[in-house]
Amino acid sequence: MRPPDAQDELDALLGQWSAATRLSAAEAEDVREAVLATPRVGLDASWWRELVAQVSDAVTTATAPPAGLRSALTPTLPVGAWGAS
Amino acid sequence: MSGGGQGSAERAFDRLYGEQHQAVFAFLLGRAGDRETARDLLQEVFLRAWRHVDDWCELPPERRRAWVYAVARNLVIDSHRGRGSDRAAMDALRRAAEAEGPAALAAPASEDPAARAEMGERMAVLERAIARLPERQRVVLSLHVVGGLNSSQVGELLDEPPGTVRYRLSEARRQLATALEADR
Repeated sequence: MRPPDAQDELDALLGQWSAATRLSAAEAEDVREAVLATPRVGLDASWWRELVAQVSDAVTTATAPPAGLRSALTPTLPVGAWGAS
Repeated sequence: MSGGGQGSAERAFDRLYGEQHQAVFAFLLGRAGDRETARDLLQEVFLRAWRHVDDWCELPPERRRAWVYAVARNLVIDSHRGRGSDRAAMDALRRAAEAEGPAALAAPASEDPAARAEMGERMAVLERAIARLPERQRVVLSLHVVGGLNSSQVGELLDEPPGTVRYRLSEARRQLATALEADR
């Protein structure tokens, strides 16, 4: 067993080594920013599905006839009225 | 990724990075034996995590962590192959001997230049002793002291029982104390 003062010195030096060695908050943030600035190689499938769904909704909305026009175009004759004489 | 999109990928990445970066850095420091190499490898590990968010983002936390450490281990192996198996440790020894790195930074500001110089010398002795530790002991020491993990957490990462981790830690401390004592 080593004398307590030797253990205390080791603990103190290890504490300083840790403080000097560990990644600082600024360094950690630099690494994070550098990583996020790199484009991901592939976008995930759900991103693509969502984009297609959004485009599809937009096309449907843009090309849908107004409600008034829809009802005007709907035949009002009773079924079977054509050809009845 | 069911949440979908770049925003949720970034959120998943931020969560992983926030939880793991310091411990992964400590692991890399222990394996590489060199702070600058560890920092470079850390960036590479998380770059891969970012590029492959879809592979891990829906995994449970323990498997997510395992994914990150598997990448880290592979990168360290590649790095050792590229630089020569013992070169990283030798680099760390050289840098410690130059006493321009953490040893110099770690010496606390003191009014007494002699006390400051002595502290710097003791830190340099400690750093050389850390660099000379067997790699397993250095990794355990680094994860515990720099990463702030307890023996159970270190054991989970290294797939070793906590008792083995505690033994390695105790051996590492014994060797460091011997080196400091020999330098008196």
